[in-house]
Amino acid sequence: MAGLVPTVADSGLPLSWQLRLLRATAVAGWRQTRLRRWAKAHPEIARGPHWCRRAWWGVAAGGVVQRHLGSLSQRHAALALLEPTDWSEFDAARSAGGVIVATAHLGPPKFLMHVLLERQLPLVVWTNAADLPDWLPASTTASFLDPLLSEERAVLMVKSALHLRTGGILLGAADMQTGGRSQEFDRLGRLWQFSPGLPALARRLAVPVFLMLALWQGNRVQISCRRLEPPEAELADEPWQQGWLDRYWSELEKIIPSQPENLRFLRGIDQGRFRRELGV
Amino acid sequence: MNPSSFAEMVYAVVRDQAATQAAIEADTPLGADGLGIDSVGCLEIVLEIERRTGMPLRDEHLTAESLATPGGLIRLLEQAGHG
Repeated sequence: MAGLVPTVADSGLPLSWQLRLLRATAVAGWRQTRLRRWAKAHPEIARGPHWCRRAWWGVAAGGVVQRHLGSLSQRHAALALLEPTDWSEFDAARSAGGVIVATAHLGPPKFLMHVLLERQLPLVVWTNAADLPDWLPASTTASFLDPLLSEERAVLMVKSALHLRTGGILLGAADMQTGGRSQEFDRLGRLWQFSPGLPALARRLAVPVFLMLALWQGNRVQISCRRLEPPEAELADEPWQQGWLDRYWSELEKIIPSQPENLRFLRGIDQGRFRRELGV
Repeated sequence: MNPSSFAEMVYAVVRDQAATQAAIEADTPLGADGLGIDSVGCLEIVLEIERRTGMPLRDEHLTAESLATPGGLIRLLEQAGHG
């Protein structure tokens, strides 16, 4: 099964056919992967063979879409999967100043970033620099900061703050611990680690936060965009950050068991091992 | 604010953030190999220095080195025209 995703992505078939082909392959394909063992170990999350088929498809389809997004000539085919999005509340907020877009490692990888880049927004993006295609930084005015580089993490925080203060938009995820402090939640039968960087910026800069996720809906992608209301202002910093992460996590917690195709099985969940079996 | 009182202010802000009364030198690392201040703490330091000087910092001189030690912070502020 190794290399399935590159094989499908490079097949020359239209992307919509590739996604359908993966649906057919998922019926039996998931049983030959590490996902089977993972599902047995996580009964609070993985709910039977149908759940596993959807999860398998999501990782494979996400890998195929990410390969399309990384190619200048195929990127448009991936972005064409997007359903119409209501940006009105978000656009109204950003016209008044800086905005944090808090996303999470759910749904097809990098899809939301590419959608926001297409909108020509003044963006700073927290992202793993190793995942960026070579052509991307030179083709956009957005800045990319890598939260995995420990020696650059303080710069990332301060640059992000300065950017928000000048009316910019920060796109980042809080659902992965990148070093330093972290907040843990014991839910769904396991520990989940979160980084306090985004809530710290939201608190200090007093900017609005939108929880924005690009999620699979069938073989299409829908962007969910909603304002994340801040905790009570009178709270001290740590309880405020905890309250912020509680609100953020409660939205993700609804998706994880019920929409398995939107799980990515990254290192926080499975050390990326199941993904690697598919060549993702 | 003259340069020496400016430097004293930077040391005081760093000391507050590190919650220590220990001696801090210009080359004392702020991070895990020194005072143990993480990236959120560095942000707090920068915002507090801005608040005390009343002068906003700018992005163009910002480097990992400028946020690595008190001396780096002082040089950053000098470059920004505050020192």
